[in-house]
Amino acid sequence: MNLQEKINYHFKSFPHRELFQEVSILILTKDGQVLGQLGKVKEGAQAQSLGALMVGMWQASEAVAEMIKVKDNKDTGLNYQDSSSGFFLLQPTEKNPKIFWSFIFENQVNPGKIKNYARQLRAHFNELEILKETKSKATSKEEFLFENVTEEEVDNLFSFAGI
Amino acid sequence: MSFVNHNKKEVNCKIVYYGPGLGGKTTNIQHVYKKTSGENRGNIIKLNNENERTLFFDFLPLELGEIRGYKTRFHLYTVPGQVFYEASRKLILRAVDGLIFVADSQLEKMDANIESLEGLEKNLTEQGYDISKIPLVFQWNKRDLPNVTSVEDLEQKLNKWGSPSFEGAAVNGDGVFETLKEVSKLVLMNLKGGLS
Repeated sequence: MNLQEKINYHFKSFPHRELFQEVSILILTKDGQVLGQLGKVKEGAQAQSLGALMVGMWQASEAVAEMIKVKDNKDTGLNYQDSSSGFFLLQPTEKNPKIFWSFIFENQVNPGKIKNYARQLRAHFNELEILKETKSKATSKEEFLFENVTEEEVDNLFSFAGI
Repeated sequence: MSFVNHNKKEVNCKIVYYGPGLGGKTTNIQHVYKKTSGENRGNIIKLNNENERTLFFDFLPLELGEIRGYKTRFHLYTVPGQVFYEASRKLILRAVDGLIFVADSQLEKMDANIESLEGLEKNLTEQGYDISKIPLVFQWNKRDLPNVTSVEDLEQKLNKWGSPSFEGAAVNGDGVFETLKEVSKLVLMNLKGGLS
């Protein structure tokens, strides 16, 4: 089972999952890569763009907070919303120090409820530790992944552009 | 930082275009965007000010083909070139895997090139990177203009690491893919997280 399948599988065991029916959830690394997703955002470029922008926004906010010396209370969030639509970002926790959760919602009667349960959803996945496991698998090896990449291989990578 | 997902057989890398203001960084990724099809790239995100100058960054996610069974995805970023956006440039350099320094070849821009390159070195050092160990490619841009510094001079004054370099005129697309392909190759060869 790959990570996305594991996320889908474990989401089914989250008791309040029906609350997130109209919410798009992206699970992001600290540098904006999409690890997994739930909801309406299309997999691929759209999700990647959202991920990069969300985490970029977080980094910019963190830089501002540092400049004005706002204290990090370890459960900081970042919000952009009106009374019914918008998005928010939850910061990594000690259990998963490199994972951000972003939630995009539309036409919600009670966005506060979504935020409350978003934290529970994050805690649900933290307990399962599936995200932590993936991180260590992906970065544990020190040897080079590709040695001696040839010109031909690079040409093949870019062949879609007719170059 | 690059992300290698062995389960999905994917590698994700971040490439940053750096250089002085109005040097052609945005023009480079605009050309890449124009030349690639919708299946391979996402939307180009441009965070500009009202004068169309880059305010925060430009961003283009690019899905390339496969290499040795791994799907490759590159995230291309530009930094804002104007001097007073130093804090933004620092942020964008976080977790960078490869750099393209887009130098403006015009004679009167040499000082701006040097200042920008010194800023790059300083910003990387502050974040614990060593510029000599990061994949870096130079593009001598605007070679189509009449009043340009010789390539020899550019090499001597800017490329003290002997990094690969290419002449370019990004406005016509010249040198854009050559530069990107070279840095992509270096980034891929620099990736850690070896095969099982």
